[in-house]
Amino acid sequence: MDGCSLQVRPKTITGLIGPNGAGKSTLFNVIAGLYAPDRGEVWFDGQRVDGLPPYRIVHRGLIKTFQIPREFRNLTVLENLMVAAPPIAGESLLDLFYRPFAIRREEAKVIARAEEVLGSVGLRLLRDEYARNLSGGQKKLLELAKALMARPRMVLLDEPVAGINPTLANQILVTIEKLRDEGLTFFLVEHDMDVVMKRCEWIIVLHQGRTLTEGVPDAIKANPEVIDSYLGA
Amino acid sequence: MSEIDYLILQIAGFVIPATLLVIIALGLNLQWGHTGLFNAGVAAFVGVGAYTFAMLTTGRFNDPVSSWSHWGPPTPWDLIPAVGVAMLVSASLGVLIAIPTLRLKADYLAIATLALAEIIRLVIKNERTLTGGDQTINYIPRPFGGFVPPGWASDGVFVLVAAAIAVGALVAMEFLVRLPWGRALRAIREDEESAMAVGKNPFRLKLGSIAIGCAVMGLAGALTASYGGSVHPDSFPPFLTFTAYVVVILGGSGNPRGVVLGGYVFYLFTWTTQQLRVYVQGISDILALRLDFINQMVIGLVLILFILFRPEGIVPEPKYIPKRRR
Repeated sequence: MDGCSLQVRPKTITGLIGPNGAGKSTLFNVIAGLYAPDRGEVWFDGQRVDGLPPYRIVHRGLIKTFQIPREFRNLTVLENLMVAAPPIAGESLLDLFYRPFAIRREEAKVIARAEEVLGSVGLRLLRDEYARNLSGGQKKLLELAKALMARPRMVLLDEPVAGINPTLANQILVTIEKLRDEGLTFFLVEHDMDVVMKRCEWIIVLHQGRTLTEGVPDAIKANPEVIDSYLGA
Repeated sequence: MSEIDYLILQIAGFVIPATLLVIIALGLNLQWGHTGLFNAGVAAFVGVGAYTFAMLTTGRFNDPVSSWSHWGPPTPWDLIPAVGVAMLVSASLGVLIAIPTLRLKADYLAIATLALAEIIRLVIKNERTLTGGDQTINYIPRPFGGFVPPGWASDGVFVLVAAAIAVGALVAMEFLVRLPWGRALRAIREDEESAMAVGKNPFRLKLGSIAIGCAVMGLAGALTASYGGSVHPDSFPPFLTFTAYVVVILGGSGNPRGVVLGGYVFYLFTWTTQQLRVYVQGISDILALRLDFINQMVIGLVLILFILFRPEGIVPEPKYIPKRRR
């Protein structure tokens, strides 16, 4: 990555496109704190977040999903979500001394919320299944559900609908739009141009580690540089 | 000696060492079974617990003839605070070695703890003024030592004490792994980076797992010292670490109850070998001599078979199903 400068406006769905190897996933990993940048800054909601460990960035409200789902294999689907919830009583052992009575109460709340999120992505029936037994598409849904469970304000989605059948993909995208209307910000990488052009309000094009251009979908579609480097004639 | 007395001694001879092994394995299970941390220095943490307890409960020893001594307190401590300190020292040692290595890849913890075990053994052996060196620390008291005469009565009491402590450790472990804390540990075991990406601090969680696991090992060490009545630098060989892993893998990594079962099954086998030797001795002396090695070969074979065909152990990790919302 070099000379890459971009902004994502709140409460939008912004797309990130570019050829393979353009640095899309790398950029996401830098933003989420998984990779440390050599130079440059990452700002989120008025605060600098580069250099913070990934879990702190999550606590600030910025979360990322993995392109290849990284579920907790030997935990159940529900447990996967419960782990992703914001810190609750009983996650630190000191809580046993400070607030022992909150543990059971908060646990019940997290269960309720996890079940709600599961329902919203259509995985309710798989509640007590081991995550390792899910299909590829279901794991993608679980990945999204985990991100939502953390109560983020902005979600980085790395190819959220790649390899998912069209009906389910559509369902996921509708869910995303609904959440956007509720005030969440999405920044997503996607190779399916129909999806990107139809669902994103703003598109950023990345090429060889730098931002090539950005704009509304129609402008991007008509941009000769983009056609040249990515979309093709 | 009456038959009952003999029977108690026999039972104690099996139950106590097996129970001590179970407690060690419970500590290791939290680190390995639940958190996926490869602690290769189990023997060191047990040994440090044993030595701490031994030094505190025997007081400062000064032998004018051989001029060796150890840094115990002027008067021997009561047993319960000594156990507490032993646990604390083992836990602190674990945390101390974990802080620089936990941030690195998993392998480094294994290397560091393996080295630590050897360092600890050599330090105990050579720092004569600190630990008594190669001299054995003797006369380590047993619980209720003042009221119960040595022999079968003392062994019987020790069986009860050890069993109570093992049950306590089991209950504590089952409780801890069901907390949100335990769930987070399992998430880290499955995929540390992914856990970090949903807001978990792996370093802090792993440090807790190390501290508690090592404290339990220190507890087992204190009991071992008390039971044996003496400690020596070589009482805690690296083989102990291996044994603890066999117990955890056999019983079921990630399942405290499985580990308890694994501990008794494992020790039953070793104990049977020891008993067998008595009978074999009359028939074939050579076979009797080799029985120990055959025992270890069989353990190795069983371990390989388990890893190949039943890696989850005798009692696999349970599926944790949170209560349904009403």
